[in-house]
Amino acid sequence: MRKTLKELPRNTKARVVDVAPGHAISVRLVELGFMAGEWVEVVHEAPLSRDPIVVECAGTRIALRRSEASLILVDDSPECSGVQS
Amino acid sequence: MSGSEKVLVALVGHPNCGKTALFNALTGLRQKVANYPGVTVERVESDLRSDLGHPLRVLDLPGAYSLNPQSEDEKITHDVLLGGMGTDVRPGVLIVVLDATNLRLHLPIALEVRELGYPICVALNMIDLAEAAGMQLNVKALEEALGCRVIPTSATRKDGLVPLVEAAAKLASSEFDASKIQWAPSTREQIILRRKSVEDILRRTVVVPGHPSLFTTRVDRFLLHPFLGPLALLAIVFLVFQAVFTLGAIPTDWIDGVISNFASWTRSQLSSGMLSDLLVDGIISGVGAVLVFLPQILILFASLLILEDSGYMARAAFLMDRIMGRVGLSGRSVLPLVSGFACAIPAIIGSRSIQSPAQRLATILITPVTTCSARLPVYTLLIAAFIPNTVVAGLFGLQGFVLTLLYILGAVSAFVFAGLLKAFNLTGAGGYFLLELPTYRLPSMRTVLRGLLDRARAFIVRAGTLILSIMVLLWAMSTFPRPPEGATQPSINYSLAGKLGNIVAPLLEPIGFNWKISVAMIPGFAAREVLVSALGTVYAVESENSEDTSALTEKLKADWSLPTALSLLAWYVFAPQCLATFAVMQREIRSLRWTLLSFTVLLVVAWLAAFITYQVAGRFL
Repeated sequence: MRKTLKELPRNTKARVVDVAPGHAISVRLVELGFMAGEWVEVVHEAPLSRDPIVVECAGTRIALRRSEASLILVDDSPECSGVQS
Repeated sequence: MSGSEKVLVALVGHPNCGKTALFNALTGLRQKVANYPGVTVERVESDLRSDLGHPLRVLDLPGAYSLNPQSEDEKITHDVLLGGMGTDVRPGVLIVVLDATNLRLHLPIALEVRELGYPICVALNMIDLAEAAGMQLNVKALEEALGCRVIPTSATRKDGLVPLVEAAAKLASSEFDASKIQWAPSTREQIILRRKSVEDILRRTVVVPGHPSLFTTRVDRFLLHPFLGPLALLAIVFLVFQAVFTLGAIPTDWIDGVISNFASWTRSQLSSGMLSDLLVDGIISGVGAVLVFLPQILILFASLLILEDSGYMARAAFLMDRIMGRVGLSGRSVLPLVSGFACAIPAIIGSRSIQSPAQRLATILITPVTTCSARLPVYTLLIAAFIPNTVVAGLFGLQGFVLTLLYILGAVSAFVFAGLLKAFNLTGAGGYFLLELPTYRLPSMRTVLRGLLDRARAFIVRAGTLILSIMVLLWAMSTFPRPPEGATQPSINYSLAGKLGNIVAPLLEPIGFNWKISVAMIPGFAAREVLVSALGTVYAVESENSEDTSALTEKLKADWSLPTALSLLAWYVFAPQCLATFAVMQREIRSLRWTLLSFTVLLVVAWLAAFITYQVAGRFL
């Protein structure tokens, strides 16, 4: 199912579909490896508010707020997440 | 500069590629620290170690993920590489430093700078860690794919330095004109294209991929745990401040002893008179008052450097981001604000790593309120003189309690100020937080040592130049003009300082400051800690008997009421009494409006805080 990275539950693998353009960090997110087809997983959530989150993507751990995570569209359909990277 | 004929070799790479450790391995511990034209950002540049055999200069550029600058320090790298920094900072060769354990993330910048046309070679850094992780790579194939030399290096083991220097030296003879570079920001398509060719290159060159660092994953499970993580953070902060105050006290006492011995020795060698007064009361005690807290500053900086180099600081930023975000800051504000407890100046400069301009401005504006170590001598003096050393609740001393309270007041005020800036939307919107959490590493002692040497040098230079000249000036101001023949009042009353103090005294009278405090306050605007030595000068000069050896503490006790002392403490929590801070602030944010506003607001708040303290204390104590 398609959703933004903001809504992706912890410890669930998903594939990046797209990064919304236009935000100050859109380009930087792509540079850090958020590209279509790349595997991502939320590996940590901050205490209490569960925001920001730590996302593992292309072998890199990136901390970002959920508001920025909402720029990243992902797909966690079973046929996607069933395949191990 | 003498080295200007030498070709400048710039190290380019991501923030976590081990670039600085490599720089240190290439250059040894001597270096020239200058600033980039127009900005206070440190320009770390040095001759290559002579035993490496080539007359090259090496420049350590601020870490950057790409040439699309996202923060002020990335903009430096961008400007240098595109020739925008003038002929003085124009590299002829680039060494692109890559973290061999994460080539997918690091390789794109190599492709990007190659596109600029620079002669480049690649340092495949941290190769020891990559090999330990089981990675096998065909270096020859990677050289073919990139079209340049690729040298596996390990800064910690000093592997690969000689071939790296050979490769750079060979490139140094090639003609390259940085002023002719054509550049436009990469489009998303170009970035994706670069990443795709990186995938392609990796397919052809990586024989066996390394397994990801299990150590980091395991440690993070504990340090980023929802409950244990914050506890660990608190424990680390507690340990750092314990080290600053308990460990730091040992060399502090020692330095203090040396200085007072030196002062009395100097006095015994000279006949009493003006020269002796200038040397002992003006210079030795003035500069000495500043040098005594060098150990504490260095311990704090050493802790921060270790925490940063190990990779923990990014985790602290992650854990703190929510709280910081509430008041319009970001997790990235944590490091600058904590270093503000040592000194606001490196803290303000350190804020350049904050990507969002709004968050960076807010961080810089609140930094002057964090309890920098220059306040410590003032606090210590007043607390020792006025707060009884009784034990409260059978647990802690009242003196320590008051000191802690002052630190907390500083931190809380910083948050309140940030909150106000956010509430009135003064610094603008657009805050975000995005930070790579690097793999945990053993901190490089060389990097830490070098960072410390820089700070110690900067601090001693400051004590030896700025503060020294202020002390001489103050001494002259409080000595001249000499009292007329047959004067009845203390001689300082006739001096320039006495007159100035008397002019501002009416303004400070409602907050309980006498004219002597007002006099000492004037040089105190140059640097807070000067107040202590200035009070020493004012009170020593005033007593006609030069053999009067009773400590300053005793004199203050006799001269001030408790409300005055408390009021001065409150004043010092807020007062913008460090002009250097505001000079740096102005250079960093380039807005005279904000700098002046910040100065004025802090001055008014300091007066109000002192006024309230004085009035309330006068009522109830």
